[in-house]
Amino acid sequence: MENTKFYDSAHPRHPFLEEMRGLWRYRDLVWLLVWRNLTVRYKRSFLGALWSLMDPLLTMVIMAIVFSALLSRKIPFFPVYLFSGLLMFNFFFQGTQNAIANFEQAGRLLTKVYLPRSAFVIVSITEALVNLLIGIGIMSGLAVIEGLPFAWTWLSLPLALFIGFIAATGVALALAPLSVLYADVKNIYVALLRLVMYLSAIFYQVDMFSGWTRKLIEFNPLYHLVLLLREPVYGHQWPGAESIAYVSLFAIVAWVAGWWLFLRFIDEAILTL
Amino acid sequence: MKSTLDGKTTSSTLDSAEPSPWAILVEDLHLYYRRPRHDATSIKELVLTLIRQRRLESYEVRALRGVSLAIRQGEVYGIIGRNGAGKSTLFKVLSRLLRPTKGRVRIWGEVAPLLGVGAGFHPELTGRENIYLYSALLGRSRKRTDELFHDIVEFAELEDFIEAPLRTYSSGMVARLGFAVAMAERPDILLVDEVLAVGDVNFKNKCERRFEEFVQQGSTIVIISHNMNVIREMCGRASWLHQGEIMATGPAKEVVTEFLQFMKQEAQRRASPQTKNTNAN
Repeated sequence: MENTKFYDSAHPRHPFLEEMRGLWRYRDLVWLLVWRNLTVRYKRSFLGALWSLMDPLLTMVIMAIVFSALLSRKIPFFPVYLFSGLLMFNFFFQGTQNAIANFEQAGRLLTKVYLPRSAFVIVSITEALVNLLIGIGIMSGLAVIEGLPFAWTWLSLPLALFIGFIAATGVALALAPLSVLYADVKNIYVALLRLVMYLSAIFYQVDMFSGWTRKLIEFNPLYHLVLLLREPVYGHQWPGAESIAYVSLFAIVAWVAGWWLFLRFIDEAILTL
Repeated sequence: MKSTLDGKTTSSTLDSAEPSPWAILVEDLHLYYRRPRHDATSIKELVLTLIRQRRLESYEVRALRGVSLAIRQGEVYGIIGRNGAGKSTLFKVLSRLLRPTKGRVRIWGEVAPLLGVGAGFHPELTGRENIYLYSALLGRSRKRTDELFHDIVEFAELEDFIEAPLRTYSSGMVARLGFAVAMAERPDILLVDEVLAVGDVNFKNKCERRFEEFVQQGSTIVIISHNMNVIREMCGRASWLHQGEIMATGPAKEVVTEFLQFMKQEAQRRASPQTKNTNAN
């Protein structure tokens, strides 16, 4: 006798496992959506896919011009220093921001079709990861031009990307349903993260500060996340064990808290849509 | 004409995943959820409410109260009721989007919803790309969509437009595409929520013929509609849902008649206070 698909609402339920199973089953859809979002963004623009490369490049150029007057004398290979920090921070910032901003629209689809609810968050973060990879590609070209060669330390990048992905996913999951329920969550988050950006030692070196400012910077997990990309690429050093441990801890806390908050508020958020 | 669940047993021997004569069994389904009493839409308002009222009150919405349905495999079943009766909520429970608060829902087979016009479609993508997107949303593999692609385009009659972006399509074309994708494969259980009145007569006939084919091949179809003609013509049995409770279950034509009678009485009752006044004058 053939087995038919069977659903019984009385079966005990493990929401987290269900999401995981759902994400695995719909993994093709996740890739499809990532691809869709990336192509749509650049379909009608004049430069097309080039724009995904242009955006961080232009930001870097502008920042380099602005800050190099102050700092390039003190920081060698300043463009690479700047770019590596910017790339990692933007991955986190834009990844989480897009996940939150797009969740409402994605959520409407969730009221009609049975899909794993966390899929859209995963899609947004994956998209940001793809953009980061493209950025790293450009940056490596830039590094070579600037005279900063490759090194074995680049091999630590996959770890940095993995930790970053976990951290960003956790934060996005925590905030996405809440942003549907309360409109100013997005705004508060963006304002907060802009502040944090200045405390991440992207445009300057941390030892240019001392006292409680410096403590604040070192307390910022995103500073350490930036280090995970910048040390291997710019400093040709393996990232410090302390930094890795600190960011990993942050990522784990974000992941656990993120899933808990997501599963706690998602049903209510969908009912609101 | 209140009729209870069929005498058929709903014992636990049906727990297995073996095929069953039933498609959907809903037993004493209750769906309650809480809505906050405050209407804060921002954190600022939320904090102010907390300060003013010391706690966040909520009230309970009882969308479904003790609903029972027994839908057999291969039936075409209708669900009717006024707006706000709980039909959409019931649809969501059957789509597994919501879990029951109380009661039990069992479904044998894969549920495919017939989505409204272009939900999930993206206007910048071409028709072809949207076909793959919608198919993926329905859980179909890429390979399967490759196999069905030609049939879908043919059914939707969009051969000349399939490579154009969706924003260039008329709303009728978008609807045809959506239907074609949804109905490309015989679903075990098709859930239709109000989206039957699309396209010209030819297309409507094509859709109806597809429905009939599906039924002949053993699909179960559940139709939620305001269109009594559709319910009467297509459904064997139906249930009338009112404020979260089933008022009647039975042959579609009879349930529709009861419902229409009730609506007429409602309308008269609402009109009568004025007529009493004019009579007094």
